[in-house]
Amino acid sequence: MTRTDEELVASATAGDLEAFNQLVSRWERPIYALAYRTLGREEDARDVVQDAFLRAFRGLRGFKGEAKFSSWLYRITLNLCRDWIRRERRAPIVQVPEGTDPIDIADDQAAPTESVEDLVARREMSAAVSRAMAELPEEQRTAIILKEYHGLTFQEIADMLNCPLSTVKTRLYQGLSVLRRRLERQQAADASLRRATWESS
Amino acid sequence: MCDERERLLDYLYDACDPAERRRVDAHLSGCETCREELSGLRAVRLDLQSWTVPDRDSVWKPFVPRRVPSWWRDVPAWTLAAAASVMFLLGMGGGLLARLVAPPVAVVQQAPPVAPVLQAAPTLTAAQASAMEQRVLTALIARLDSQPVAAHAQPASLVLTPVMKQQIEAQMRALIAESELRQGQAIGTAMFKVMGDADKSFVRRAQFNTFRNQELPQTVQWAMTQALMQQGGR
Repeated sequence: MTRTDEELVASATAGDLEAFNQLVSRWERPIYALAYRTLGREEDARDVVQDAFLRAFRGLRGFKGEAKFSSWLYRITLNLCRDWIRRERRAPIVQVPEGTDPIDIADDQAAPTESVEDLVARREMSAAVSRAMAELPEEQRTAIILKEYHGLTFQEIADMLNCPLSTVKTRLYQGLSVLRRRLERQQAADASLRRATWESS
Repeated sequence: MCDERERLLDYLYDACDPAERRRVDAHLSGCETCREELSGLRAVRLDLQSWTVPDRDSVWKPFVPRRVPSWWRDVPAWTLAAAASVMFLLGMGGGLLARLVAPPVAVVQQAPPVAPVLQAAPTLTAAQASAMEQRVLTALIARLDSQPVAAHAQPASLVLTPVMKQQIEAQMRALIAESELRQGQAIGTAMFKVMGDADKSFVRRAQFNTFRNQELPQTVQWAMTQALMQQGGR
């Protein structure tokens, strides 16, 4: 039977290290995704993940369960990401896989039915989104990441970021609007480039 | 543009109740601007789903679970200390008795016929050495035979049986392990005190990794993990 986060937290607090290992195993992937999308670089995201779980472990006895364990973990991770951004004094880095090697591309096909052209287009879009997100203000980027990739409710985001519900919605709306314009511009530029390449060949 | 931003966002993320949803539907049917806005937001949400996160191995090295406690972990420290003292006294008594029982060994070593021959014969052959060993043994046995019966009947009762040796060995191991755990706890506490003082997460992480990556004994790792937990909230 699968134990709930709360049960695992209680066991871990009582000294059951295996319970904490299970919590890590359950939440490592989402926490890594959050850190990666916030910071934009794998190496930094890995460091933040390790630090986040270490902090969570140290703070277990102070965690009283007012919020969900996952929300608490997300907050720790976001604080670490914010510290990282301030320490480095720079915006998130855009780290995009090359993705032009046919073998590499074949390995990454989501399904056997996905054509190579579709896969290349998907990768290009992934890179474009990554770039556009990196240019957004931190608050807007965070709101979009939490809503789109982690499925949090507006209220959960507001509680996590300690701001009013209306602020969360404003940040999200503004962020999506800016992204939309940038991606439309990017898609238009890509289409123009493809047309030029096709005409020259 | 209509001032429907917040309602449109709730509608987009399906966060409004049915009545509200019907109201937005009614508005959209008559507002081209909002329909386009909603369509654009849906498109950008779709684009966002293409942003994938690279696969990678786990960065977390699982904590080492606590070892199953041995029976002697529950024994009070003073009994272990007493046991150690008894073992020490037994060993010392045995040694003294052995010295009392076997004085001929010293006599044989100092005996003029043996020692000078050994020192003066650097080119001693194997046959000569063997013969000499035989002579020494013969002398030793003769000396022991000449002792009163009571004197060498007593040490015979002190000869350690294999079972006794195993028990002694097990108790000594227990004492060593106990000492190891205490040292580990001391190291752990000291290390995390330093880490807490440093108050920099990357320093803590580096030190934490150092101790986890080293192949430290499980008892030390366990003790350090406990020290880490005890510092929770700092």
